Amino acid sequence: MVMGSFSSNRYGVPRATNDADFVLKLMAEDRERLFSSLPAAFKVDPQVGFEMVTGTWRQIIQVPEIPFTIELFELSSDPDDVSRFARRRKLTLLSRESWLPTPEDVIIQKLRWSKSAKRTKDFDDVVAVMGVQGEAALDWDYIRKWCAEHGTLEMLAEATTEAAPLWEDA
Amino acid sequence: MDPRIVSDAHFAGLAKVRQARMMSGEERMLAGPRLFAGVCERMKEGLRDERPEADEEEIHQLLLQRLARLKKLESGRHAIP
Repeated sequence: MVMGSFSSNRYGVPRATNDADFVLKLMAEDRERLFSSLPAAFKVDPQVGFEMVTGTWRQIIQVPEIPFTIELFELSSDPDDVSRFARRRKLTLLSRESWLPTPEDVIIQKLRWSKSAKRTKDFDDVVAVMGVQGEAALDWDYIRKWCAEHGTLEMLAEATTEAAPLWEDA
Repeated sequence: MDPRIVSDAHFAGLAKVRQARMMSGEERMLAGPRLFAGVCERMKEGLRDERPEADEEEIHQLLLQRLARLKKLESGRHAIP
């Protein structure tokens, strides 16, 4: 499933990005098969990292000459991650099937990261997704439920206040 | 703050959102790397100005070094998607 800035660009205002993030549901042996099938230009980082919120496996793949980074994250057992993955949507990108989270799940996740990593760009992405999607198109009960779980209701209220003027002609 | 600045900021935000609504979801997704390619071109122009003696390969390597430094500043070993 495509995550990160590619998913917020899909539903919001596009911003420059040079990395693509994917959440994968893979067995260890599938990882090895995936890495060995990559083209030579793709450099797999020998060091495995960890995702900040749930602590799951994270693998970086660089394409140095472009330059472009691909980050792979393992699907965790975190209830929100599981819900987001189950609700994912199949979409077409460059004539290929791809999976994306719903706009509600992008908002929930970006608010969670904004709280954990204190990255202002995540908050800006949330406002942009809300602005472009419009108030009526979003499932606010679902968003509020997860924000209450994550302790991000206050940030949600702040983002909603910033997005509200953008809804006037949605 | 001067209310005219607040008003300008509001309309600038609205203009971006309106433009994004006119694009398809696929166009918005593909705009991210295209915008980044534009950023790289501007950075290369700055590097050429700084280092007029450097050839294109050196400029490319300098660009990669600066991007790596920026990335390092932005995130540590622990990351989020």
